[in-house]
Amino acid sequence: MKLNITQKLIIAFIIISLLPYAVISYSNYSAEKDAIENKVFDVLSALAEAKSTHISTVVNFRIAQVREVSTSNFMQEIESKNTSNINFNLLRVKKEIPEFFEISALDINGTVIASTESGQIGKSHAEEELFKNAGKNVYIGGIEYYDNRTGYTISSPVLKRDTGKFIGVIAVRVYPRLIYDVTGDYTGLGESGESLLVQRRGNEVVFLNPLRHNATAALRLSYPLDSEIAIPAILAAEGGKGTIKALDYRGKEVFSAYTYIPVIDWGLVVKIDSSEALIPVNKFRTRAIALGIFYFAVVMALAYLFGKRYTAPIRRLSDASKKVAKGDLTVRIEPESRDEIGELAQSFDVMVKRLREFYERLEQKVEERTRDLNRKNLELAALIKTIQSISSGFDLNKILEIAVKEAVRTVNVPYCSIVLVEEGKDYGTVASEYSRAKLKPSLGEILYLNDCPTLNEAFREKRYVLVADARKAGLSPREREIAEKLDMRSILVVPLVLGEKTLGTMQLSSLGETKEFTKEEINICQTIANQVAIAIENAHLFSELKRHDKTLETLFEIDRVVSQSLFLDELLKAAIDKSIEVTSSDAGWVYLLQEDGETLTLEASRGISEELVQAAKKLKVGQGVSGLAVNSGKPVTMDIENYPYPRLLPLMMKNSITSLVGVPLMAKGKTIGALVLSSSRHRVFSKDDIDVLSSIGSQIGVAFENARLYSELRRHSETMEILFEIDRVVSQSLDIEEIFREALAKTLQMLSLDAGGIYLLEDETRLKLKTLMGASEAFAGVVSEIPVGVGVAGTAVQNKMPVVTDIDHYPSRELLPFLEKEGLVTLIGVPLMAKGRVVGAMNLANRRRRVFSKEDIDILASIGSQIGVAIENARLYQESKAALEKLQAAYEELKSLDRMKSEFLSNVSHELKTPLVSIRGYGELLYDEKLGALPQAQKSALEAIIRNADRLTRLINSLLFLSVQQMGKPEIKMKPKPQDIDEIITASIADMKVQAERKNISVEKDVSRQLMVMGDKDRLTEVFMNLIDNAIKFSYHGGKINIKAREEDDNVHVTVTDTGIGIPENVLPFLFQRFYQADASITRKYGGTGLGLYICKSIVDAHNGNIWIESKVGKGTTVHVLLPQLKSRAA
Amino acid sequence: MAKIMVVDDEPDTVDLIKLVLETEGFEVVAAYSGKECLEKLEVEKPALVLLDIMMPEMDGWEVMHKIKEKYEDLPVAILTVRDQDIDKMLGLHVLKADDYITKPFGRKELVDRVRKMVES
Repeated sequence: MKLNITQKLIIAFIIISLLPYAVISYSNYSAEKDAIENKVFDVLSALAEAKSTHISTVVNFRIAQVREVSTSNFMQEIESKNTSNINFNLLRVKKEIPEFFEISALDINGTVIASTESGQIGKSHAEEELFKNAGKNVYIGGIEYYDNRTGYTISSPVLKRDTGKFIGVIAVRVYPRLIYDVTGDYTGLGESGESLLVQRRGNEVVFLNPLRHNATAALRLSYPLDSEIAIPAILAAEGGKGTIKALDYRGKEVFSAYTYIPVIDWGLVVKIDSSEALIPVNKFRTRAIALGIFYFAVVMALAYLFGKRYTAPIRRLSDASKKVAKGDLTVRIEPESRDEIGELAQSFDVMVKRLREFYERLEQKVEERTRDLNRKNLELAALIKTIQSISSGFDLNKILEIAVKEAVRTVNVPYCSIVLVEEGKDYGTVASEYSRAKLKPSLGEILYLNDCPTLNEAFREKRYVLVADARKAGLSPREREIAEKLDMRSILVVPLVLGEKTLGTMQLSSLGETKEFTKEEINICQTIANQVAIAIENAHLFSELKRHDKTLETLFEIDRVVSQSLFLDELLKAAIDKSIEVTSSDAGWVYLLQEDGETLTLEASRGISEELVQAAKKLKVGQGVSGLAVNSGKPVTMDIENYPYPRLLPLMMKNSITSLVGVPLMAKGKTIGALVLSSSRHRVFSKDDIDVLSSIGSQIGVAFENARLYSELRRHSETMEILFEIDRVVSQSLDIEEIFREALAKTLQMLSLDAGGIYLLEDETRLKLKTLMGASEAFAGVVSEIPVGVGVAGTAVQNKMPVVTDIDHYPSRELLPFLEKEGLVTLIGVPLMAKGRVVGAMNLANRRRRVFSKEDIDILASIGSQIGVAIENARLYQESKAALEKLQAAYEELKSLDRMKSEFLSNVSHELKTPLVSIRGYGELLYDEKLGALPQAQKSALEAIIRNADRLTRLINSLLFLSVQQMGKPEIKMKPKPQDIDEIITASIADMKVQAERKNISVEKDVSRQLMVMGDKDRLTEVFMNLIDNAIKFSYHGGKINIKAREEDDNVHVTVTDTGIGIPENVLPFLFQRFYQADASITRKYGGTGLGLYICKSIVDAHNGNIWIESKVGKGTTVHVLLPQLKSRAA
Repeated sequence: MAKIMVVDDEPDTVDLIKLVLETEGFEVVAAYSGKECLEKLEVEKPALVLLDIMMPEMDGWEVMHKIKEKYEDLPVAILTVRDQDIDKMLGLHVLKADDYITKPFGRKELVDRVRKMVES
């Protein structure tokens, strides 16, 4: 708990002032309590003493009264037994003393002879204390009930007056009124006090008088001696005397005094409840507490006031310092007192004041610095901008313009200029200038360094030069002239330095008034100057690069053009155009070297007259510029004056050709021609121009090569296309007529031929026309059949190779007129080959003359083979198709027959079985005597009926299996999903339970957990049902089947083991065959289709598993099933 | 005792099953066709249906399908002369019949299996 100073002070006050009060009050209270307790005990003791004395007195008084009666005259008559007189007198006494409620006179034998209660007369008290003890002296008995009244007995001997002889006894029952008066007097006992009379009787203490809190206590209330309560009563009854604070009979704490009254053997207790007795003490305590509270309140108030008085200034100080800590320096504390706290407040004020002053100064400084920094930042930003704009451009003039402008702005001077000095020169040019004032520009002015020593110094020494005031400084005349022209005063000259070189100077100056250049400004200027130097260099480099770039671009462009265009004409034209453009020429042309290596032919031209083109169509190597270039293999340049080929000269002049340049065109290291450009001006084609042209030349060469390759390729691909097309056509169809038509049409189309036909070899000597295209019907009639060796087709068949001819060299005279009539000029015969044999021929013809290359003929041969193979295929197909159709029909018939048979069998078995149901069922009902008791002979007969019905059922079943036999391998349709093998085995066992129970066979399962396989649940269940079914079938009554599944390598290994009849070793290999049962008799005995294991194996196989059987005859069989395990993802 | 509906187009078979089951204390209702079966189900509310497969017009598979569509929890046992594996598979695993009993049946077997189904 955190307390502030006021709270602490208050607590201290309270502790200091309240503690003594509490101690004193408590000791007072204890003393008072003791005193009061003692007083109570004293009062009680006194009361007890008084009451016991009183009671003793009462008892003694009663004894005296009895004694008086016993000595009275009439009692003497006991001896004479004058009972009437005694009675009379006894009644008189009773009347006198009402408390004596029964007075009896006893004779020496203890017999009542006279009594106030006539009922008592005649009773004997001989054995009672009152008689026995009264023989000699007075006897006092305890308080008892007598006729519903409490009373005690006093008996006294009656003695003969003269002799003193014992003649009888007088017994009196006394009502203890006086005693009860004493105990019922509560004087001095407050509200709760009581007096108790008690007597010990055996192990109990009996209460004798009615009590304040219990009016019926007399003789009714008793407590054992060892009771936890009624302690004073017990002490009193035991004869003790004293005082005690203890629990009374009610269990309440009481103050009590107890004493013993010996004369009657009673104990007396006088007590008062401690709660009442201590009322004065409690009052005292209450008073003390009330006083304490009052005292506490006063102390609190005082402590609070004092605390506040003394802590308030401290609190104020504390609050103030908190404010100061938060940054509020306006805090001030008014000193209220002159004590130490007041001083503290004063020094705090002083301290805060100082702090405030310090902060103010600091703020001022910070402000200054911030201003400074902002300014610098702006400057820096400007500088950066300047530098950026300077170094990002390549346009020199623009860069210099920016540089001077920014220098003026940044350094805040009215004038700036830049002078550039070219390398190795002794003069500079004003390259850029900027001023805020309107001035006569000096741009382009030339300054000789020797005339300007200030500039020169900065330039040569590579350092800035400062002229404080131009009016006063010793400037050279030239410098003075410049300065005065503008009224320059303070001048700063910084060199433009780049590495080892100085490129010029930058001048800044004030106009009209002097200015002090600060160190920073000089630095900035130097920085700008350096950037300008770099930018100048960059600009130089850039312009150079740009030149290079332009060249490269051109080359690239030509490259692009020449590689794009594969057609030579186009290519050459594009190359010439480009070359003209690049070299700024007026005209250009290309010659190509012919195969003879001597002739050059003009292939393309631009910018020259048709006349010249015609004239210059052919050149010899060595003639003209092209001829020279081709001859030398090097570029040639010349002016028209030196033109070496006079024949073309006039035409050249006419075309205003003045200058010429020619470069050889090269391809694969060989010269293939020349490119020539001409200009109408006198000019020198530079080295660059020639380089570019040489590049173009080799590009053209490459393109030329490309074009050649391309046309070759194109031809090749066309060929492939034809072959492919024909192949597609012939393989698409097996209809031979269609193949002929399509193949011929395609071939004609591809080879751009006009007519054609296809012949098939009928026998060894004749060809028969199958299809004809592009020729008249009449012609078709003529050539419908030709002998081998006649015409191109016949010749091709004979030679087993294509024949190409024109009408002039046609080999067969007899057909010539018809060919001429049809206008067929070029004729081709192609043999159709299949498996090395000629099967026919294809004729092709064109109405225009046409030359076929060797490649063309190769293609034709290929086409021939294609068609030949297709023909062969088609023929084979035609042959087989007929056979197939026959087979198909037979198969369909068989299939329907089979279906009919299956249906028939299925229906027959149903029809046969239905009556069997009734026969067997009723038979069994009778046999089981469900329809009345039967003699044994009838039962035997019924048993035979049932047995034979079963046999018939099995027979019908077998019949059904035969129909099933028609099935092929069962198609296992699966829906594979992850399966828990345990679930499948459990389901299988459940399904087979009835069968097992019927033979009292126990099926046990021992399967590892979490064995997963991928498979079809129903199918796998079928497998295990089958296996279990078999195991049951082949087990003896009461046998055992054990199914176990374990993980084994990556498989799940399931075994189904029975203790059945077993399988002979020699049949094990055949078990998985369809319809196999180890012994034909087995079927009869055990039933079953013989299909079970076959189906199992099919299913297991479909699961990529394995199934096998181990068995021993007489011992049993184990079927093993191995299925690939499906590993869970977690594993 | 539980009420069982026997569905078979063969009156002799129905009578036989009726006799067998009634001597064991079952109450038996007969239906001689699939159609009759479906009509009577609503009124009779049997505890089990014994269903033949090979019946004219509507065969047992179809009846089974219709019963299961409407009375999902009503147990149906197939009682048929077809004892081929493929039929058993179809009945027990595809159509989810509660049992598959082949005819001719053993009296005790029929009674046992019927009792089992009715009790479960």
